[in-house]
Amino acid sequence: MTDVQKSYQQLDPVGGMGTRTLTVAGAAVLGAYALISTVATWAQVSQPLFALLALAAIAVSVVGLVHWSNPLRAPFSTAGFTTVAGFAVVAMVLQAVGSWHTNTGFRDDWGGIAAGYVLLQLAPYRPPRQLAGFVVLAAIVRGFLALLESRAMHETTPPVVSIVTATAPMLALSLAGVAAASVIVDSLNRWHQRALLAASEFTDELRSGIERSVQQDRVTILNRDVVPFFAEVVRTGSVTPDDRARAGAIADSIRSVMLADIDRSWLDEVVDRAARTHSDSVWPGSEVVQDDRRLAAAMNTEQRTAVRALVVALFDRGGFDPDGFGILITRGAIGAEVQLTAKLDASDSVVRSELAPYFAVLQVVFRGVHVDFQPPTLALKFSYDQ
Amino acid sequence: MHRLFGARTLVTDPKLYQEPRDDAAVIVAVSRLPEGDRVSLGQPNHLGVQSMSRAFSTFAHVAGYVCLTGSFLMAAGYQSADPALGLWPALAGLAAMIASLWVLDRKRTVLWASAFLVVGGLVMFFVAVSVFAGIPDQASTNSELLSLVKYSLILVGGAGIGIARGIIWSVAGFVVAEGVTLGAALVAGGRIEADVSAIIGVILVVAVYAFVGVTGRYGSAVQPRLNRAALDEHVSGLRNRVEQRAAALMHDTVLGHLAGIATASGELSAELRTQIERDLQVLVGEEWLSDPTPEFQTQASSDWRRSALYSAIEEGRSLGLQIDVTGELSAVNRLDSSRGLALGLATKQCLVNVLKHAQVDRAEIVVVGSESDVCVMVVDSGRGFSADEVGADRLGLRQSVRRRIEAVDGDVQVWSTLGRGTSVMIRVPTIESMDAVQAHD
Repeated sequence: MTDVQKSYQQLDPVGGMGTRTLTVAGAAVLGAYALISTVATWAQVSQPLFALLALAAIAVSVVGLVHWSNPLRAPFSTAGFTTVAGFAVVAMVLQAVGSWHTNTGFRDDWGGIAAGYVLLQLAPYRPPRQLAGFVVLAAIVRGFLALLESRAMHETTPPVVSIVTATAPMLALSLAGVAAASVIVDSLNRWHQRALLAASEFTDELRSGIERSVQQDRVTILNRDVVPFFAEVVRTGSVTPDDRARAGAIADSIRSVMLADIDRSWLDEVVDRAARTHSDSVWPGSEVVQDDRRLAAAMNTEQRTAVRALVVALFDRGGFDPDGFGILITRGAIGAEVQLTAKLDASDSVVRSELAPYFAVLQVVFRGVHVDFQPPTLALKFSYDQ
Repeated sequence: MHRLFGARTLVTDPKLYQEPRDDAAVIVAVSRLPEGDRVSLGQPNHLGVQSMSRAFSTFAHVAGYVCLTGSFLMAAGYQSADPALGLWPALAGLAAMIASLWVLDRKRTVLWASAFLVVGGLVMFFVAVSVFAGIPDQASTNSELLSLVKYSLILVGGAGIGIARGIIWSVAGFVVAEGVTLGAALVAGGRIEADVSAIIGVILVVAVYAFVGVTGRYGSAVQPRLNRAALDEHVSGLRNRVEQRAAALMHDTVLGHLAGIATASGELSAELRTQIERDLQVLVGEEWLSDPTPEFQTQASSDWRRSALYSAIEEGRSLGLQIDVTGELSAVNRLDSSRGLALGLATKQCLVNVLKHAQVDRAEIVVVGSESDVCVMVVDSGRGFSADEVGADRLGLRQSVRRRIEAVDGDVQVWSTLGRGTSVMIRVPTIESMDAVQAHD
């Protein structure tokens, strides 16, 4: 999936969480609006069963919206989108059928506005192009219904007036939502493009500096043991039993360190570094990472960034007990599975609210994220492709 | 010695691995990450706020366009149904409103927002008078046609100019819209009814403004941490690749020579002595970790004899190995310099392994090239090995071959049978395939 086809929630999981409160509040308002409108215009209802089914359909849509927009279920799934948007359109149709022949004006129809409002609420969670497609579909359905209904009921009203009256509020809400989401997605993509433009110079600067640094470190150590030894052997031109023994000892020493480093992963470094920043106490480092099959290496850059940010946030957090921290990576049925545990001295609500942005990021970049906090133990599970 | 060859090596120059000190530093640093290390996990807070502001402005303007276009189409529909209505001035006014919204969309200033409000108020009056006079269905302050114009006045003026001013502009738009409609009703005799939808509309807009103002950008404390993590990940990855290269070079040179000394007796062979002297000069005197020297610049050369693979084969021959080379040798010219060098050094290690472990003095190298990659197979008919018998301390294949090749996006496969020989296949991607991957990304 290219960036163009990603949603705001996927491109900015933390910022996207800010829309969640509006989504929940908006869903409540929408449910209340549909209910109140139905009661207030009950006199126009000719088919009560359809009117009630319309309410049920919009209830499913609203509940689905709240359910799938939960950051712990991110990213908003295609199935969720289809369900939420689909039931909103179904509600729109049922509501129109419920007042067929008895409708006194399209303005009293809540179905079109509700569909538009649901699509607006979906804007942060789904790619703009997909939303736009559904908006067109919903507008065609609503316009066609209005045309049929107006021919049956409002014979003096020009057809275009009926169609516009029925579809304009829905289109205003949903198209505006699609456009706003496009602006944010484009902005995020432009941000990444700017990063690309400045990349070459930065990489060159950084690489040459690191290369010099690494070489300098090695040369310093080589000068201490290896270079004098080689120089001596070359100078004398012969190899004594002592030389052989010393060569073997130096080689064993180098080999043991190299072997240790071969098995050392980026995750070991992250944990060690996080522990080192709290040098006032003796905190365990990478020994708490169990990754016998070296599966951490298979995480992509985004996944590593998300885990790195979470680990640092946990270590920095007050009430974090280093003795209860551990990461286990194993091979599962459909990929690598990570189990992260931590002990935190805090209430459930505090932990969930403070760490929620990190969980949201994990949700977007990993599969099957499961968060469980039974004070004081936080247990996270997630998986990824190997 | 512990600090010598691993990722645990401490950095002597603190500037190379310093912690970004503030959000601004992180923003600058992250903004310069290369494509492969870009992180699609949000953007800096100040850019996020700007994006939100533009998004809200766009939302309001698009909604305004739809509402004004809808009211225009409705008026046009009535006019076409009854040409005697005389709604042409109202239609012209609505067109003028759409035009002023178009200008406001491009020039977001208080002047143009004020102009939109003034133009909108005047147009609304003429439209309302025309509608009240000519369209009985819509002759109410609560008519659908007029409500659409009201929505545009409530939404558009204050969009994207801040919370407090946005609220003031929206309320002003509502007051103007309702005041003008009421005045037109009094003048033209329209029915005066409360427009509940407009009232709900302005309440919702003010509520959204207030919500955004109270909560601010969500996660503003977390985003810098994510950006910092992205930066750390990038630096860590880069450093790790350099460490790997250094470790592989160390294995090729220092460990090889130490092994040579440890198994020598009496006189140091002239060959080993020459190699040690040469490598000592390189290790201590040159920037051997920098990108490949011109000697190994295969990309610019059409002659495979200038490739690192050729050098490796020649070195293998100088060590006493008979090497038969077949296949599409010029394929190595399709590799960039770093991959060409990695392929050459990995091949050399394979040849060293043949000498050290296979107990034969003959090897075959087959080069196979395609558009996407170059494969080099090193084959010997020596004693072979089984995975179980290989000691955990055997570094050559792991460090100098496999990890070196994986660091340049290639891969290594090994087939070996006890008593029948070993085949190592090294595959590295060509310049064309890497370009294709980047283009796809």
